[in-house]
Amino acid sequence: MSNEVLSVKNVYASYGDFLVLKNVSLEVREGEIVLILGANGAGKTTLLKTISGLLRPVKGQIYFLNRRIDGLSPHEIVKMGISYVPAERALFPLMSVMENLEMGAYIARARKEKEERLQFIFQLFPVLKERRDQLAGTLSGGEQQMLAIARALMASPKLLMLDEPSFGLAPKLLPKLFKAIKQINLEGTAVLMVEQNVRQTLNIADRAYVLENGSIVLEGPCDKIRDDPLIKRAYLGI
Amino acid sequence: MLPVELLLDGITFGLILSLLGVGITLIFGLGEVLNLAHGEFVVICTILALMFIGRGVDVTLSIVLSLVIIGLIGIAFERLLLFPVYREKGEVRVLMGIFMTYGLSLAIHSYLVNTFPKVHFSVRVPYTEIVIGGLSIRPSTLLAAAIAALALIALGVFLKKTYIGKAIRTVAQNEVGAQLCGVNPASLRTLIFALGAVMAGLAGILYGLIATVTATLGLDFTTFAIVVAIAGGVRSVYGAIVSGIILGIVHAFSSFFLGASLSLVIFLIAVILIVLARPEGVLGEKG
Repeated sequence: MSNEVLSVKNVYASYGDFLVLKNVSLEVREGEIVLILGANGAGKTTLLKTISGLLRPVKGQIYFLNRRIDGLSPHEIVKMGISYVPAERALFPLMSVMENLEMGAYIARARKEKEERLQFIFQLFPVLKERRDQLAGTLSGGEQQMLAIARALMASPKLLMLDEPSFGLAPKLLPKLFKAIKQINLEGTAVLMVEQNVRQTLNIADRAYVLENGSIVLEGPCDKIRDDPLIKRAYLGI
Repeated sequence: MLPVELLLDGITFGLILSLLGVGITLIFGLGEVLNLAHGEFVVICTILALMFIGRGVDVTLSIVLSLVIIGLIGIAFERLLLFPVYREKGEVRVLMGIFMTYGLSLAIHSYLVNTFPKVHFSVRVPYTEIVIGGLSIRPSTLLAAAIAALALIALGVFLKKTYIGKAIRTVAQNEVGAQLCGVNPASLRTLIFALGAVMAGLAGILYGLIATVTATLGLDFTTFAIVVAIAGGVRSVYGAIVSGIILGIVHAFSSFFLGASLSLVIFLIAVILIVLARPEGVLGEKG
């Protein structure tokens, strides 16, 4: 398919001798929000880490905009247009909000668009504008999550990967967060996300993959996935 | 000697210590390698300067050339010898870094001591003492202090204001985060190692303005550098600067009143007291 942004083909990945991903294939197409579901330890984070270059696959290929990226370093993959927000956020705690955002625009292509991106981000997360001079380490959990997403957006990615963006957030913040993700997507960024809030994310996502023990056991459009008996029982509690 | 003059001597020596400590701090902060060969860069740089001066090259130009070369030596050293260290993680990396740099330091040290046993580096400034209000100040001391302070300010501006400087701080704060912003930690580690070597070399040149550098002093400089970095909080650049100045002052007063051998004891006691009182370093947690 020509409108594929990301294409993961038969990827195996391991931590030492322990094989975590087994023959995983998946695609993200232009303009899509794609969801990865699965229990703890199913390999969801490992999959995002492998795509971002933090982990090298043992076997298989990963293509981004028809260019092969497996084997590249994380900083090279960022330059190509994939930004990854890990669950631990990986912010710079002793730098201000503004400095964190500036570093998000470190790559040459993003430096030129810095001002426009800042405008977009401050409109998306106004609280970051209020806290621009505060050290990132002193922000609340929710603010840190917004900053982590905002920092990733500063690189003007074509694909944004989010690992558990709702983790540690107050429930009342969730609709806001998912609305922001939808807005980012409407701006033309494809999104690949791992999320525990299955019910709410199925509403904003286009398609979903279900990982079990490192393999994909189910995939399809969200309305189909929602009606699958397995999903109903395991994730939606119906 | 008046206390004010002693204080000026102490601050000058302290700023030189800061130059050494900052290098150790940055190299450790970025790559978890404790560079036990740091003091050898001090000696190598002064010997290089002496070689140029001996061939009739202008003194200032000789010093500049030796600083450039010590930076290149730093790059070669990091690229050739530390890459196996950086392949490891955590404790293994720290230990391998210690073995690698300690081995190298011993090798360089014995080579230098045997090859250049009589080398003495000191720079004479052709001005006589300045007397202001009863204080007699040596221009060489003032010059050493001014250059060291300028170098440290320039480093601070570089780390605070430039994109590369900020990227260096991000690697020290969260390496994964830095990579995910498009920063390449490996090339910054090389850069900072070279910068550390240049600052060590500059420390040696400036030490030559206030005293004499000999080939045997490498291990002493390494010890000073590590001790200053530890008292500064290991990962804090500003901490290393402040702790260098404090310890320099302690050193000046104790060696004046108690003599050279006892002054080292007092110096180390001061370090222990700082570490006990402020385990996070003189400035606390701030980077």
